[in-house]
Amino acid sequence: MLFNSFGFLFVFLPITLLGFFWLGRRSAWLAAAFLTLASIAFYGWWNWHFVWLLLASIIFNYVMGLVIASMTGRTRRYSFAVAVAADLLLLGYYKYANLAATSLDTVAGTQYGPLDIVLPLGISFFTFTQIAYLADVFQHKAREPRFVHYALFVSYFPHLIAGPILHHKEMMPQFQAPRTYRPQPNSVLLGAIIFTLGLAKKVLIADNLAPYANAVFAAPDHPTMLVAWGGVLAYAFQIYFDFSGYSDMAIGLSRLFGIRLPLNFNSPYKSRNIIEFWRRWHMTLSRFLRDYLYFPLGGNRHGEPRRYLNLMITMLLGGLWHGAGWNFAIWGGLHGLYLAANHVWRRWFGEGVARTRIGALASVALTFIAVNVAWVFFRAPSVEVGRDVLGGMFGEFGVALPAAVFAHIEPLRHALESLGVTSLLGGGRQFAMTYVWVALAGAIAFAAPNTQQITRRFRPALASAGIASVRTLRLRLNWRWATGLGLLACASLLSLSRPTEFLYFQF
Amino acid sequence: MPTLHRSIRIFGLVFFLSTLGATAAVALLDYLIDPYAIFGVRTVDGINAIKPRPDAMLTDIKAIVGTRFHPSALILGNSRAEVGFDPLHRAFATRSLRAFNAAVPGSDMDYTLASFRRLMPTNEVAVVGVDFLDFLYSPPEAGSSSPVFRDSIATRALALFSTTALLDSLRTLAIQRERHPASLRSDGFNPLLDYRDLVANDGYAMLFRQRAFESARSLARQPHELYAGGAGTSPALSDLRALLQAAAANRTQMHLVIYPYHLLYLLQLDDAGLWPLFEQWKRDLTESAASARSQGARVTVWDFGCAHRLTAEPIPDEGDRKTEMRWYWEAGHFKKELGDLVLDRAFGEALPAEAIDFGIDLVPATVETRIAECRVSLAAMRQRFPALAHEASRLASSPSGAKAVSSP
Repeated sequence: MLFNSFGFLFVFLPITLLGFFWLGRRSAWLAAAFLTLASIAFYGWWNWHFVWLLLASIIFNYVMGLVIASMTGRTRRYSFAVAVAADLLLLGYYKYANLAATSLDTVAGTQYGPLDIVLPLGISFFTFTQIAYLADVFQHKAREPRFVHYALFVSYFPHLIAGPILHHKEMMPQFQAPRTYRPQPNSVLLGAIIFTLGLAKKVLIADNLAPYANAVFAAPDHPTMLVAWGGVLAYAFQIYFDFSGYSDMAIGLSRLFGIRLPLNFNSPYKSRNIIEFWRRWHMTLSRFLRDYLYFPLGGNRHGEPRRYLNLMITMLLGGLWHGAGWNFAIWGGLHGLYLAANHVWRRWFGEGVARTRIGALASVALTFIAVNVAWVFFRAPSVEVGRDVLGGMFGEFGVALPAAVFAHIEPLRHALESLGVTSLLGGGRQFAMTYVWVALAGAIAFAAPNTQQITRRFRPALASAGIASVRTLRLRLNWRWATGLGLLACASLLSLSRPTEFLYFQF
Repeated sequence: MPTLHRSIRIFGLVFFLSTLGATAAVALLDYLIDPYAIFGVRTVDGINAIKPRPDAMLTDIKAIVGTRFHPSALILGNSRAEVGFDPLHRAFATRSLRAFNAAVPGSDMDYTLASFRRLMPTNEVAVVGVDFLDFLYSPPEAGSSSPVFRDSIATRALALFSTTALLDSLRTLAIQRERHPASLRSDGFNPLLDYRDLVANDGYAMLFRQRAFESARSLARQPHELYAGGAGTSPALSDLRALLQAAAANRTQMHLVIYPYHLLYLLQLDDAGLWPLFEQWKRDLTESAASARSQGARVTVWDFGCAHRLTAEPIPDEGDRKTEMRWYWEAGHFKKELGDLVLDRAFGEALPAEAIDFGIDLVPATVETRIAECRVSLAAMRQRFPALAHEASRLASSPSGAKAVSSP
């Protein structure tokens, strides 16, 4: 079920919300159990056949958590290793078996692939959530004897499909608090506001950018420079507004139930360097990779070369977490390189350059360009397509403007032609609309405050106090804001006629 | 705290009511403007008399409007039929037929069959444009099938509660005073008035080049196969045969029309290596129609897909924005004026001297002769119009590399 569908908004959500608080007045346990069942029904709406997988994974990890907690010494270590290995095997089967089979076919000439394996929705997210839990149990940082709370922690529908990736220690206290089970008017209202902002980001911006990105990546065919950049920029903003919109919706939905989720995005394209980018983009994944991969690998504790190697390994695996394909490995590898280069730069030059106004602008621009180059491989259906689009971005196939655009800038024609700009047949409207949407989305992404900044004074999410405040567009409880949000909700609802999946559902 | 709760309640109430109020206002506006003419609201000159051509839901809109129209003559096909065959043609009027153009751009035989079945009950005559490319067979992609029509209640709901409908309502208000609006007539015909502005700004040569480039890319991707697994049939052929059966059962006089493609497009078909399949397709149509006739169907296959002096209409030079073309917008789409000649031929109306040999009804006894003649005429035209032949050949050899061209 999609957050941006009529069935979810007008059937599932009201029933779940009312049922939760009605039962919460009688028994917190009943309410938690009901919310767990509702979450499983939410998951099963997509495909009932995989409900057993989710349930089996929850039960297995819950039991293993109890086992690990009750053990000591080597047995504890072995139990932990077995549990994590089983989780990784499950994830590996569904996510990487096909890549392994087809790669083997290529190398050894066998015929194992392609395998007919359907990737269960959200498997990467609920597997990572539980591995983190097991690691914390192993390190004596967590223990959860209540099965219902554990099952709710994993299956909680606002985060189940595409995150944010939750941490045990930030959720369990909330599930235990009696006030969670009583409706809080301010939480319900704030949840509705955040959900509205997220929905608008998804259906009013991301979905309108999608056709322009798809047009370039579906059949790139040696795109000329401006066409290639148009498609890549459209995708860069599409994925940001899609995924951050989804995360806002998740945070908003959870606030309806009085539960705060962690932040997942904080205006990442405003970052001055790639290290900052990863502190602002998919923040809960970055946190997971840092705490459960980079640190265990040694982090920066064994000297600079080892740090760069650890960064590269972390980002490569982070790339492959998104999907089984060489293009994801390249995306992760590029970010690993960027991070290593960023650390080297810091070590040699410090951050003086970025402190000046021009330096800061240049830093943001350079970071954004680097991120876009990596997005090419993230979005491209194959490495070849990625290579084609990248070649186009850097002028390999020339620079051209649609003839219709040329016709409207007749005085500049001679100058442009002398620079080697040629005329392109067709696509004038597509070209113009691509850049109109990119400009609009870019203005919002770079100049406007984000959802958390707008709602900051109401503490929208966990750790939101650390978000920088803004002077404009701060939520106030007055009629102007109420009416404006009402109009935004109306515009979003009117755009639900063709609900589209969130990009991160595929991961 | 009570103050905070009160302000939260008031804020929530205003938020909720403004959402509801704005949604209701949009629905009311959409209903009153009725941009798709599906609610049958009275039209007012200068407000909503001219309806915009919808970019979305056209299939569903035409299904609802067509049902209410109660047509006794139906025009079906893709965009070529939508812009080329005018329901106000004299052949319909003189026979007291109420014609509706249910053709939809990009539609295939699946849609044609479904649309015919949906609008069939009061149908006496059907003019069905058939497109060769729709009959080329490629294995269906998994999950690619979808219902042809949306539920009519859902369509009406979307015509009230959607961003698309709201924008189209605003567009309706805006186009009333435009000279050449992108509009759709109440009988389903698309007059393509907006192309007049395109021609005035860019010239026919640009339109032809752009379309030829798109056709080259499309033709390069086409499968070179008519049948599924050599079985002598395909989903499109099955749909065609079902259409003929439905026409026979309804006693509908059916005219299957092979579109009058411009010479440039025919040359592109040939250069893409598809001409032998084009010929075989004509044989299949002829045979299917003959078979249906033997079972009582009243069906004729009209072949206009042959090089002819009308279809070889010269294209104005690059940069020429004055010279009018009489028959074509570009190689893929003919004007209503040529469509009128096609309908004249199909309905046995008098034809001008220049069109006296334009189009022929295909029957098993003559199909091979016709195919041979078309082959010869294409070769002759290739010699006669070397620039067109060169353009078609250049595009076929490099369908994507030819997209960027030096400015004229």
